[in-house]
Amino acid sequence: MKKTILLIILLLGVTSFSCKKSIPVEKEPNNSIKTATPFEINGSISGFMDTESDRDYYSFSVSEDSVAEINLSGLKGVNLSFRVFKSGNVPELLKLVDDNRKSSPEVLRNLFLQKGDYHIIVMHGTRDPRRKNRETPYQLEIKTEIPGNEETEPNDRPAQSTPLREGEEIRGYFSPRYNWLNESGENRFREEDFYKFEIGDDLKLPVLVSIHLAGVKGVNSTVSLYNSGMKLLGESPETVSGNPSEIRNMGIKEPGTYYLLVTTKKFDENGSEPYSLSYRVDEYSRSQELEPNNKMTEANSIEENSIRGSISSTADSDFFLYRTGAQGEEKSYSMEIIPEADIDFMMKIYNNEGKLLFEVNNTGSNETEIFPDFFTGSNFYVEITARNFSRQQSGNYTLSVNSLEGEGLESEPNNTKEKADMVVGGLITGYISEKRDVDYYLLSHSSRKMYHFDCTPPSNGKIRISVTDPLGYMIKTVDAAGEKKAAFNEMIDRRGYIVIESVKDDFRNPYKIVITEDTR
Amino acid sequence: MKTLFLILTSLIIFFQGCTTTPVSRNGSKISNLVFSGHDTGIDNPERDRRSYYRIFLDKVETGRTTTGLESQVKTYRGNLDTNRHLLRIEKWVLDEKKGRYIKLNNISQPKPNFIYFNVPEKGTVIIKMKTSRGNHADYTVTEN
Repeated sequence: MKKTILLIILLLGVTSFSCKKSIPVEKEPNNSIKTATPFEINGSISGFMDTESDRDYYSFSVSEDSVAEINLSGLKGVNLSFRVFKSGNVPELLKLVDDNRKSSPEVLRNLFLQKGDYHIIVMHGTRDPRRKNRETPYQLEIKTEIPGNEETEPNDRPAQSTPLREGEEIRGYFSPRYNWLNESGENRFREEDFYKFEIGDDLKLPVLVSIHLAGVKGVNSTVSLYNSGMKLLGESPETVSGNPSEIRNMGIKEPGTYYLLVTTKKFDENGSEPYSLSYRVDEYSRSQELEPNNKMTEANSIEENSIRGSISSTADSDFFLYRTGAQGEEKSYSMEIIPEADIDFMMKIYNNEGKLLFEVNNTGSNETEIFPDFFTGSNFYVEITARNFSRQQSGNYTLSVNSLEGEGLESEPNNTKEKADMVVGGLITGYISEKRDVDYYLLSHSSRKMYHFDCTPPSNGKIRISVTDPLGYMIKTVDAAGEKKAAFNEMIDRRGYIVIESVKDDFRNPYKIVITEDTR
Repeated sequence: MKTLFLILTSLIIFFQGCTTTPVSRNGSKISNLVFSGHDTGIDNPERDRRSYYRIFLDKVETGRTTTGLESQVKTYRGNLDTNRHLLRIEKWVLDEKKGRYIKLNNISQPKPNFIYFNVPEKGTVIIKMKTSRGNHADYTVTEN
């Protein structure tokens, strides 16, 4: 009986002992590579910061290419860090992880490990006073997976770029917070992830490349595109924390390797939620915008009177050049921006020398922006921007430019007496070109004459027509709106201005004034 | 005989036409009414406003005078049929702040602001108006 009880107790004891999964402990001294404590991947090991200058070396082997996640637990009151080396005659430092904070864990994800031997050093961080802790152990854990569609840390330099394939999403982390090995100028200590993709010479160039970086909670991210010479081609516009970053329709004109840099604005970190990155290549047609066209010198030519473009933020500017053909032939042109979404577009018109002539914001969101009659005899530039924009919207638009045909077309700008269009009578055809537009015409003759004015307003607008004395002071004013035409007689003392003011805007339809001499 | 009759008829019509609507060499009608008006007693440039008169003949607005300072003579020329006619005027002055001429209040309009006159078959009627302080208007009608 006693034997049976003893056996049962013994068996229970053995069973309970074997149920406790013990975590291996470092074997001191392990303060050098030679004395490193070995441990198995996909497992943990614990250790102590025995002294203020303690450094614990660990070694492990990887039998096939893997992606590793390394976790180092926090230790109350102690600022810990770790470094990962690839073994060799001269060990290669792969990553230094230190979040610069006491008591917090350190994490490194997506570390790509080729088959071979590695070392990890656990040591104090650089920022805080070094403290020993012999009572509480830290835990170091390494988990590995077969590589998939994720970044391959370290990808902190262009030469370490993770390859990207068109249409495939790749996952990465805005983690660790700092890269203490990054000593480059203004971006010192910034964690950066580089990717690369190829544009083959079998493609019909140029092509349009669009890049999408999904938003991650708590991170204000940015993505930049470089060519093979590391010249910056484009950068995602400013956004807010948690929102995606995009580069749309960047024009690539040469085959080769292109690099993407994914990083954060303000050392943001999110080690638990991955970002996803992808790119797309589209064919380019001459009726499409080709980024970068953010400057006048990069302006896209408008072919066949229209071009499709896209705005990616309120800071984005798209420049276009319209070639008028025969230089010196003066004509009027109407311009329209047709939005695809609820966006309030603006237009600036510059002359051939780059001088700003008009700033047009006649309509609101989701309305066609019109500048009905720009008079010129030379090439001109159009700049398009958006007053409002959100990431959820399509920033697409179509810009069209058409030459106007007609009798007696006004010559904008004619908004002042000094810039008045000279007329001798007959038909005037004008447009309300902008809000509160005023058009001046100067009627002059060698003698005093009575004229008859027959005024047809724009179909959906209202205009105020005034005739002035020779000095430009208004003598007679009448209104005309919709179907209500206006007709009146007025004396012109050799010269007088006809002033057309917009009361209710109609940018699309012209007004017409017929001036005839009244000989009654 | 018929030819002679036709020529005579044409000549009569032609001369009648000349008497009713005189035409100048360049084709415009010759005026047979001249109106001029100005203010007297203005001795301060600050009070000498730019102005003109709107002309109503037989209750129909037919034009306006030239523009000028109140102290300057401003004229209107028109053409009327032979008959008795009514001339009424409206004085407008420049509001420099508004950049436009505004009609003076009735209390500041010349008094009287009308005159009846006859237009003879031949000659030109000249009406001169002088407005003195108190807006009192004196009209002088002469035939030339």
